Amino acid sequence: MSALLHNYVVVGAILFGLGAIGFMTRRNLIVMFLCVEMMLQGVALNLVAFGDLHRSMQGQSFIIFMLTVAACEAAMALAVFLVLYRSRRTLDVSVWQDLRDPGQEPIIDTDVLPADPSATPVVYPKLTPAGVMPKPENEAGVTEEVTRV
Amino acid sequence: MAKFFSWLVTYCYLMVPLVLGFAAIVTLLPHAGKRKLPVQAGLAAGVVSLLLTGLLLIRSSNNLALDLFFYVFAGITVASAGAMIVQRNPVYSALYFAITVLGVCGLFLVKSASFLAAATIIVYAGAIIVTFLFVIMLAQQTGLADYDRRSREHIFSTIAGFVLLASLLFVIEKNFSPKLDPSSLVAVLKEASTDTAPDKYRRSGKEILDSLQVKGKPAESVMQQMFTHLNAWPEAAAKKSEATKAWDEARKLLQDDQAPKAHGALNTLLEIANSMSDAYNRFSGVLSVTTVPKDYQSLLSAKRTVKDADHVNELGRSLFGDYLFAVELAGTLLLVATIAAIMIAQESERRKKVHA
Repeated sequence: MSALLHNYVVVGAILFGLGAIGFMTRRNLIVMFLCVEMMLQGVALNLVAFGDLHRSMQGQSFIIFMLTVAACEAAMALAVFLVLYRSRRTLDVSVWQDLRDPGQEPIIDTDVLPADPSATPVVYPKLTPAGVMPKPENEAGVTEEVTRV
Repeated sequence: MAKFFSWLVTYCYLMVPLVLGFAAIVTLLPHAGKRKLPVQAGLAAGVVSLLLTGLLLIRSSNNLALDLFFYVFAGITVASAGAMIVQRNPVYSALYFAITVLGVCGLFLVKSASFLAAATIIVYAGAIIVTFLFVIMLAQQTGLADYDRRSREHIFSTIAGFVLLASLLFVIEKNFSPKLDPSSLVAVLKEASTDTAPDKYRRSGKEILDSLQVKGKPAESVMQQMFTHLNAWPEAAAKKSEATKAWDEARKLLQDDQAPKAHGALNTLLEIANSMSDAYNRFSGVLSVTTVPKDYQSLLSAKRTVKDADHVNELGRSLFGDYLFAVELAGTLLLVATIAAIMIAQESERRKKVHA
């Protein structure tokens, strides 16, 4: 007796749906790609559960191939992302709007974002310098007088 | 059309977790405008939606340990999947994805796919996530990027996504057998059968006939309903006609107050209910629309012959026996992809000139 097939199909569907939402809403190329990988995980759950129902290993073999192809896909995609990043200095997909079909209305961000709280540089506490400064050597190789700080 | 609406009403309870989940995702997704709900409300909606999904959609089998592990891993998986798509920081997104993968691996283990669980952790959590993090670090600016704090049409996209999810869940709920409980039917029939045994004649036929109920519904119609939901069970048709005959006989004899004579018919019904319970556990709610493969008869009789420790063995036999050519092809694909990735990512002189 193993866990119910129905439950696996439900969890797989939820993963697939959430991945689809993430793919449609997010604008970071890398996060979009991760969402696609999450949809693949939902499919993998289904394959394992149905393979177990049929008491065969075909489902699991198929997931091994899925893993292989996902790894290839990740390698290629990251290489492409690097090239894209180099040319425009951003990972925003909206920058590549000119790749769409001609005649589409451009998406322009009109809303003004509130100030980013995490953008302010972190101020670290400063320690008062103490101890002896190492002797700097001048050109002649003669050590100068040490100044205490 | 009317059928469709009645069907919609039957499964309308699914809308509750879906609407709550929708509210949570819309609230938590990054967007430039003002939030309709505070973050805490979004989080609370998400948690309630997760719990309701667990209550309404997830069924328990008769194995407590497996159910417990399933609940824990499924909870981790879905919660971190939700957290991943709403995270503003891509590094956190990637780490939440790693947790999702770990949860999925736990679910693989519950289905005794141990090799797959290990392979997925190594390949996804180990290799792919690290590469992603590497690229994110390479392209990271100080603070959050503008595009990470906005999302495209967050309300409409989420509606589209949840319509997809809702239709999937509705179809799953409709086509998998509902929360049937063959064990209570078995218990009712067992009691009736012992009461009609020749030496234990205790109740009148009318009383026994009245007691043949499962949660207020007549046992006969409950059994019929289970037959309709178990139609992936190859023996369903034969057993159904047998059961109808036995019910007719038992009902007639019990109404004539000849309880001891009804013992045989009730025993037959008890046997049918027992085998029905077995089939229910075996198929655990198989899609009733599944096209029944030719070897289903043998599948039904097949017990799990492979020991859990032998699963890796079996998987190896399948990969390097049945799919040897495909394995070689996949290996070649990996090699080609590696070379291609290096070629693409390389900063060539020619490309530098184009960008200059």
